[in-house]
Amino acid sequence: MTIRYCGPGGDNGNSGLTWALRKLTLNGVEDIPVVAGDLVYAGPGVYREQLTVDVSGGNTYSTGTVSVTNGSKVVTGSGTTFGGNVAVDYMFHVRLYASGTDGVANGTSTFTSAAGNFQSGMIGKVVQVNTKGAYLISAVASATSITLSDPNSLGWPSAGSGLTYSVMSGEGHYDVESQDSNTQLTLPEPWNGPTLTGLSYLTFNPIRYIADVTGEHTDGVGGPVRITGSDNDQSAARSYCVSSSAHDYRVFRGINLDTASGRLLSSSSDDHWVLEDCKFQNLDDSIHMAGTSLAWTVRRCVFIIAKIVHLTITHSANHDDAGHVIESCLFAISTDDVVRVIHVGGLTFRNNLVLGSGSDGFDMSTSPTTGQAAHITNCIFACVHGAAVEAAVAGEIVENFNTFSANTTNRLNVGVGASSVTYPPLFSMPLLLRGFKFPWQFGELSEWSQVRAIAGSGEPAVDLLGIPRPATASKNSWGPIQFTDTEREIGTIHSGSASLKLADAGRIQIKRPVTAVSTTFSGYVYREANYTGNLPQMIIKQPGQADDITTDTNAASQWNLLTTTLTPTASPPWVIVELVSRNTTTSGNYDVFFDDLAVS
Amino acid sequence: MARNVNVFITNWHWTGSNVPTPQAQVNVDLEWADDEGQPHSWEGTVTFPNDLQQVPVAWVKEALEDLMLRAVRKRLGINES
Repeated sequence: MTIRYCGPGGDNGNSGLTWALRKLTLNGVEDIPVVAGDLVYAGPGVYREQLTVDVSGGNTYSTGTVSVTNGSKVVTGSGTTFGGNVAVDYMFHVRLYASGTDGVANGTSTFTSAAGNFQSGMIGKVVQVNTKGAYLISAVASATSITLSDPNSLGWPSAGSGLTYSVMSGEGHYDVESQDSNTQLTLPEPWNGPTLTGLSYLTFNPIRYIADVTGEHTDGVGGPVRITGSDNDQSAARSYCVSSSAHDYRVFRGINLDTASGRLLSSSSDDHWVLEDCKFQNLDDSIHMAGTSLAWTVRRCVFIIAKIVHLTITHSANHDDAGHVIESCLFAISTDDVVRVIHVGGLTFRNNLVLGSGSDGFDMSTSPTTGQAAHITNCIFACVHGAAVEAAVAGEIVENFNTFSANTTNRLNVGVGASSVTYPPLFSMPLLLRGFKFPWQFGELSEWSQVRAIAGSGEPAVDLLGIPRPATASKNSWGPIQFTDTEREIGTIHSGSASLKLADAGRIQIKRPVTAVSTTFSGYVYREANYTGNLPQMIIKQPGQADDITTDTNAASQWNLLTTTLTPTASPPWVIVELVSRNTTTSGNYDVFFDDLAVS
Repeated sequence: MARNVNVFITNWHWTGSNVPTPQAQVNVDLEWADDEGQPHSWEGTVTFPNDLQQVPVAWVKEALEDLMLRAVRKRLGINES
């Protein structure tokens, strides 16, 4: 792996191998050219250029099969030789849980495949039966037989054999933390999908562009990394911010894109792209993904203002099992659709906020192959002028565990999900007091929201901010931002007149300036008698460093001291003190209080 | 004013084209700025239904769907206008 740098003050005649010898532009780095495994740190600043993606990552490997376990970081291979083929910082991806061409339907709720692909972990997933329709798997009788449910009232698939079918994973990409043996990989994050064996998979060595927003790898100051199509911040001077055609295995993280006359990101037939922590606002489309693209992961991104569509996924002909996953994103304000899909199936859209669309929210505007579908869960659709979810023909969208509020039409040609509701999202509103500026996170739910703690289906492990969601399903929030119930407590206090209460599982973060000297962080914690699950924690977080975790190991119903001493790094010159409740019970008294936090 | 509306549209097909319809004509004065900020303007006459011959059939279908849905929603009292 080669680390490369670009940023303001650089020179494209430089090598780009250190920050001091950084390239000036993104294209300056791209044109070296970058190769598979390269990591590019883009320094804080404004890049007034159109990045033309010229090369692909690579080193792909997919021999054998893998087993994965929900909540485990370990991936176990069968028939694999990971040694020499996979390494740290590669990426791991499972696009399909099952697929085949030997499906048999008989006009009932039973669907069979002699291939023996079905496992109990697939219950609740969509099975796409081409030429018949999309159904949910309600039971797995055996490896060769499943029971369907029919969320769109299509009727049971008519008798047929030799049917092409698929069950999409709905999981995005994972990094690889280590290659442990020929049959074992370790991921940095636990596998969030169900426990399954015998899965096809893909590993590859990507090219990463990382916005160094903290400055720890580049200028030591930090700030936004912005690619803009404008030269004067008044009008667009370029068609795109990023463009690519048929270049695969690319990762972009933390970048702001704005003000192009065309799309911010224009892609044609690019496979396995990962967009994380990126922000989009534009005079036209945000992302336009055309052609036979496979397996994009768009997660933890913010889309605000698109003159037309935020995300278009289109192909001129039917494109099956695309495997794109859009999760934990905030979409707000577009004059046309928020997401428009043309001829493409096999999509997952979960834990997103769709707010304020001039036309539709999620629009399957032109039918894909019959049976291909989008699976939409745990989302908030509000104030959509057209239909919040719209299919050209019933069966192309399977929605459940979503809330719909203040839309002209909630669903057009889409069946009502059994667990979907019509609750208003009730966002947290700013605290306005003349002359004072209080912190406010747009899109965060309020304490009154009825979807702030509600069981969903397969929530991503972390939210828009990358903060872990609670372990208990019923304590998770729908939409992209996890709610944490924090209050000022004046009854249970260690000293003084108030403490900080976490009324349920959640995390609160406090930013604290530091210098690179030995520093002690301490505080008192009190958990009530019925608290259940892993114990409360105080975590000291600094970007680029391992978390320093102190766990409350003493008895409940008393104040216990948490203390840790460490030496922060110099950059960035701050740490986050994260206070954590990991309660899992839903009955009794389980508040957690923190008091007398001190840094010395 | 109703809330939480779900709609199913099925069996979409064209049923003919020779139906008497009101004809209309408007004079349009259109001003806009392009991506470079350059101003443009156009002045002309637009007619209905003649000028619909210039738009893709999918546009007509979408607009007609919206119009038909709006009409039935008003008739049922789902929407006031």
